[in-house]
Amino acid sequence: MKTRFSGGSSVSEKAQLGVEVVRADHISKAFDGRMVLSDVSLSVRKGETLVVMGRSGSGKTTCLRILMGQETADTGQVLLFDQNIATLKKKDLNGIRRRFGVVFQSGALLNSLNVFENVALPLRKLTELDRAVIEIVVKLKLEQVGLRGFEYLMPAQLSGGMRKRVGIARALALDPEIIFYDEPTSGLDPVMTAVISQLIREISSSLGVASVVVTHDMESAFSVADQMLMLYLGEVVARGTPEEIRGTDEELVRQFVDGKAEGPIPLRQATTDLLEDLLGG
Amino acid sequence: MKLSNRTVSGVPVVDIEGDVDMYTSPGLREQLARFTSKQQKRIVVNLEGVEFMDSSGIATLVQAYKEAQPFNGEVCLASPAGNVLRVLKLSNLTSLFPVFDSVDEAVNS
Ligand SMILES: Nc1ncnc2c1ncn2[C@@H]1O[C@H](COP(=O)(O)OP(=O)(O)O)[C@@H](O)[C@H]1O
Ligand SMILES: [Mg+2]
Repeated sequence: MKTRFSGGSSVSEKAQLGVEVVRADHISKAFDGRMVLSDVSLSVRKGETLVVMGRSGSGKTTCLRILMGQETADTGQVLLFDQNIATLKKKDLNGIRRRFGVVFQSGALLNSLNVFENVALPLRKLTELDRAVIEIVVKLKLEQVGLRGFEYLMPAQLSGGMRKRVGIARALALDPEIIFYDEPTSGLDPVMTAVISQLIREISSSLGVASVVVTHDMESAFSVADQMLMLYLGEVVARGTPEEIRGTDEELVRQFVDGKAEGPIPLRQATTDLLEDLLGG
Repeated sequence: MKLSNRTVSGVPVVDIEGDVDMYTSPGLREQLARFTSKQQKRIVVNLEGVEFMDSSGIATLVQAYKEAQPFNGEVCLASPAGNVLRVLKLSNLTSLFPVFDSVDEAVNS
């Protein structure tokens, strides 16, 4: 029986129901010989939200892109819905792409299209639904993110928070089973950050989707996460439930969670020696 | 998904077997439009065999409702599964569709 809409709201219910929909085993990735991800493993079940946190440059976006099949890992494998995305045929990969939604950091809206058309885009491109039905689906999605009534605004007329919400509505258009969010609250004021965090929680609990949220915003991270994973220089330095992460005495994690400048995370983290850099050929 | 239709005591009934999703909604849409264009006062959608319905399925039902409005027609739902009712409730749309436990009840009410 399909249970795509029966995602539970309590943690114990989730633990019972959730089938694993995202899995990464020991993925590593280097760019130009420099390791940006080392031996990262993770797993997300239906109805569950995994937050990947870490400072900028720690490899979060790269990790997300690998999970979505936009980038390939040098070693290790990624399974979406139990299928290895690296070895899938194009047709099967397209089938899987319809089953997940992506909320890009920038919103990635098309500036020449109004809000309505931006959300309608995946429906027009990937389904045979007719105009009338698409119009209703788009309105349902805009209602979900609190933007019904703003259909005819252009992206340039939107606030940062509205853009993010349009991006979320578009990611929801095809009723995905997984949503990948890249820094969904970056650049937003505290109130709008709380609104987006609440939206992420609602989408998870009412629709039962699995979510992977990449963020460096601690407040938002703790408010949406069922599981957390912290990356530091491409390595997993901590993982656990929000309670476990909050309670850890691991210094690297403490410094990040508390947002302090003093601690093991150095102010400067160039891997090469300055003098060598200045003087070397 | 499989669609079939029949007439029970003069009322058109659409029986659906399987998922109503982005792939199968267009077929349902066509069938419902055929009835609304004939200005059928009551259409019964039998959801007993439907375990899963996504937004496009919901939107398809809403569109049928819209098309039936001008002649005061109604779109009745028979035996929707818990899942399907949940989705309708989530979207606050239960008020649009009279819901019945069986096709017979929907036809004879
Ligand atoms: N396509 C690429 N080519 C070269 N280096 C890259 C590429 N993408 C990311 N990087 C580098 O990998 C590191 C991790 O980047 P990223 O995954 O974007 O981190 P985060 O999202 O945590 O800020 C950074 O040092 C970045 O410059
Ligand atoms: Mg990033």
